[in-house]
Amino acid sequence: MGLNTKYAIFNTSKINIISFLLLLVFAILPLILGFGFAVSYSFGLIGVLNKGFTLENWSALFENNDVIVSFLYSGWLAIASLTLSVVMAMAIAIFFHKKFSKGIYSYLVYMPLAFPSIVAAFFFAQFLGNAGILSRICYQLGIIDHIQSFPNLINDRFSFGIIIAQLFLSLPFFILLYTGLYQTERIDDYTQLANSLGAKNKQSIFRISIPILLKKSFPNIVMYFIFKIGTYEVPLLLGRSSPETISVLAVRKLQKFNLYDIPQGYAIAVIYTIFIISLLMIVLKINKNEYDI
Amino acid sequence: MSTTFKKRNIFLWLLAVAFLTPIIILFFLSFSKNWRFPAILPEQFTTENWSYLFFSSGNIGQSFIVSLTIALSVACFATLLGFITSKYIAYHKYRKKLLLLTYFPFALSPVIFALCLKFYFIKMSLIGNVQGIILAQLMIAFPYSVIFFTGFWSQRIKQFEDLVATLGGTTAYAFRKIVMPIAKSLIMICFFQCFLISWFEFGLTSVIGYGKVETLTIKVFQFVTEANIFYAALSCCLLILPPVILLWFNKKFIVQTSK
Amino acid sequence: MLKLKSLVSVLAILSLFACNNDKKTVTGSSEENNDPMMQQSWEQITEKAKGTTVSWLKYTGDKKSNKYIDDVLVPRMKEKFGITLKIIPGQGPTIVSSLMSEKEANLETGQSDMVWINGETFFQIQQFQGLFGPIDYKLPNSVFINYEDPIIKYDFQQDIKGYEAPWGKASFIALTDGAKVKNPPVSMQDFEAYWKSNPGKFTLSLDFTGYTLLKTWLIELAGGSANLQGDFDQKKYDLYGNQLWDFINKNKKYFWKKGETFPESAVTISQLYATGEINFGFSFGFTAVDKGIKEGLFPKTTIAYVLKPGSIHNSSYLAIPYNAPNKEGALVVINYLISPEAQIEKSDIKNSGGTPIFDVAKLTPELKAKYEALEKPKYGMTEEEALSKAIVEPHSLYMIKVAQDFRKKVIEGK
Repeated sequence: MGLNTKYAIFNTSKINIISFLLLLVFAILPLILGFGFAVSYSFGLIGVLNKGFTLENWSALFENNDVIVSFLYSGWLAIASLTLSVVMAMAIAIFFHKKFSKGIYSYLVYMPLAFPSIVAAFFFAQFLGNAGILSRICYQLGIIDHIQSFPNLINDRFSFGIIIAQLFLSLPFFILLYTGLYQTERIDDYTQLANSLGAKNKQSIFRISIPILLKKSFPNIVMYFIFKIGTYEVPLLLGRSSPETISVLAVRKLQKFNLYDIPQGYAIAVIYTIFIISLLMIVLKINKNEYDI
Repeated sequence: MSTTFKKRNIFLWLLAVAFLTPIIILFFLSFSKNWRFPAILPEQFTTENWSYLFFSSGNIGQSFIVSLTIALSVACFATLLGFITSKYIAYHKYRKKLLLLTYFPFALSPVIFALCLKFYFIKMSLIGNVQGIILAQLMIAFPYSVIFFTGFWSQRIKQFEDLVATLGGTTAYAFRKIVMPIAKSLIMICFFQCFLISWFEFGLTSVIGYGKVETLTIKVFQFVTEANIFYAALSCCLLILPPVILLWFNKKFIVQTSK
Repeated sequence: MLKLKSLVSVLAILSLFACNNDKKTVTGSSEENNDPMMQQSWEQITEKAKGTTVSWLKYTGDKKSNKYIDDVLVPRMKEKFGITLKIIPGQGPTIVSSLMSEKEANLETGQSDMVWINGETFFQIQQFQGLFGPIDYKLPNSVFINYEDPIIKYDFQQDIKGYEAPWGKASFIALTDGAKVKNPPVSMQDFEAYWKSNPGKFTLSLDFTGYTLLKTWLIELAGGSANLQGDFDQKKYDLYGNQLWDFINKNKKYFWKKGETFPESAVTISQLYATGEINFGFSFGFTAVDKGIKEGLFPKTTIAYVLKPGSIHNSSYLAIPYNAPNKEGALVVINYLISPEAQIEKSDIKNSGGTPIFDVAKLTPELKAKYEALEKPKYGMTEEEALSKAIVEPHSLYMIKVAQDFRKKVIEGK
């Protein structure tokens, strides 16, 4: 390729058109089309088994509070795993930031990032299940005498398995984020300054380190929350039959057993999309510095 | 000093164990046979699982290649196209609004998004084939890449470019001599990030792939549903392998894949 | 004995019903397929199928059967007919929703050439005319099949009308560890008593196996399968259904994990049984026990038995989607799969196990000898035993309703 063609390719007006088209095709159009499809399907406008406009599917959906429960449950799971990740990662950043900036730990921390969600879910099912590794160890150590005496750690009432798996997946991300911020925000300097002015260690942690880290990471936390609300693989393998997270519920309605549930499944997709988009708009509006990935 | 120091060390040790054991256990399981409760170790270690899945009719090698092809294509397209589009957005007067639009597809649950788009993919004959999956995954990876690069096109880069223009240099010259050197490492990171987004994807792939395109994540799920834990563990190992290799080369490559 | 009697009478009624149709062909179907593709001779079809790929959408929950298909059937199709057989994994409900999406998009060439379905899946696909057919009359190996056999002719009370070719017969059985459970519970009262004295040792799966157990209990509450014969009856369902949910809700605290969650599939149930977490499993096929023991999964003391109302019998079928791109190939593969040769091989405990679909009376002496030479199950029950307690499947809608209400009334507890 000669200089001239290169020049032509990078001609600004042409490139703007291409860029706009790309944005349209890969980001804007799919969203509009997908949303439009879900809306029309949920109101009975399309679909081989639908018979024209109806509000039935929507009213059937709200006959019971499944959807609300599902949203609350997804939200709760996201908040629980995020809180644990943030607290642990902050503690690590404050106390061990040196260990994690270089050396063996700076490598180890990346390990969970090599895990797809489905692999993490599979591993924790094998590790925490009643016939899992932990249970076997407990048996061999004489802590339990029967497979059933091992507590339910997966498919359990408190969603322990899901939260642990999510923690495993997200902790490294937050450790890296906070150890990074600890350095770029020069928190060491601030705490030293505060300490020399007579602040106690505890005070400088709670008054300086934590507020700075929290403030700086807030957009990341919210973005993570948005991702975790839609999480699918982990609750699919480690969750209980009920309640279900939003993704699991929607997929069940759309792909399982009763064909007449499909419009309801699309109604859930509509609610979910509106919810996520509103949340995103609020976050990006409040937070003037955009969230950088 | 000493007691708190020790306590701290124990905490760190635990963390190290927590980060490492999953890989080790999955690796062991992939070589295991007859692993009955309450035995901690299986009755037998064997290479049977590996040889069956690779050399008999297991087709796991094929899945590995399919996954690799999809992930590399997605990474190439997403990085290249995202790099171009991000510049357009970055200097656009509606920068904020356009950026917001790019966030939407990226933030939605891939499996729900895919179910809403399935109809169109069927219409375009893009279901059950590799092209369809690449396109579908691009709908997540491309926005990611755009958002990733938008931060890069700062005022500073623009000033450099303008400077080159005033000094009589062409846009191409500015691109080669100014933009590329600064962007190079970011492009690499974005490439591997997009690679991982694709490599890790399950929900969307299962919908658009129709079960016909058997990527490694699909295989893992399949083995899990037929309770074939040793084969599942083996496929997990194959899934973990490339990211670990990337890690070996550069830690930065595998940072922060949140999806 | 009473069971057998009622079965016989049901069969008699059903066959009477079937005989009313005097225009029918050998396969019990009254119409022929007018599609130009079906006007070809079988030789033309086989010729056309050569060198093509057939995509078979099927449930792949059985490890051993998967291995048999991968290692034996796939290479054989290649060698015998030059057909590349490709398995696409998909559970029943996914098969239905996939076909429906294709129908909605008016897709002319679909993703799959043949599907393995039965019961509610067939019923639902037929709701939107998702199948190509009738096909059975075209298959040369149909001669070995008695299409008047009610267990073949009616798929969950629905006349197959030649749209599906039978591939396997199944009988619903319970299994337990005879060493641990001395007097296996048979009736619902037995189970209730057992659960109360052995909490945590029982559960059922949220798939067709679990729902078949629920239907068996529904039949028990209805006082026998004759009462649920024919079309779906909402009144009867409400009556017995509510009794069933009361019964389960009253007792679920004695279930595995206190009845707060249920495994997604029968595969998980088998595993839980294997590790001793629960004491009961359920399966389709009297050979399941032997298979499990052979695999090293089940303890050797495992026994199979039939619940009080009897063993629900059904067939599973192969069918061709309306938009299958390679209908010729699919026909050739289906014809092979229903052949006595393939059926005998499949029935082998080493492979899939189960009951073949051919009519033994129609077999040649050699084939008959071959079939009888098959290894008989040692631990489970014999085919005759299972057959003697056979009852027919209620209408598909019972399955759909039971699945829905189990979630609503038991899992979500409303």
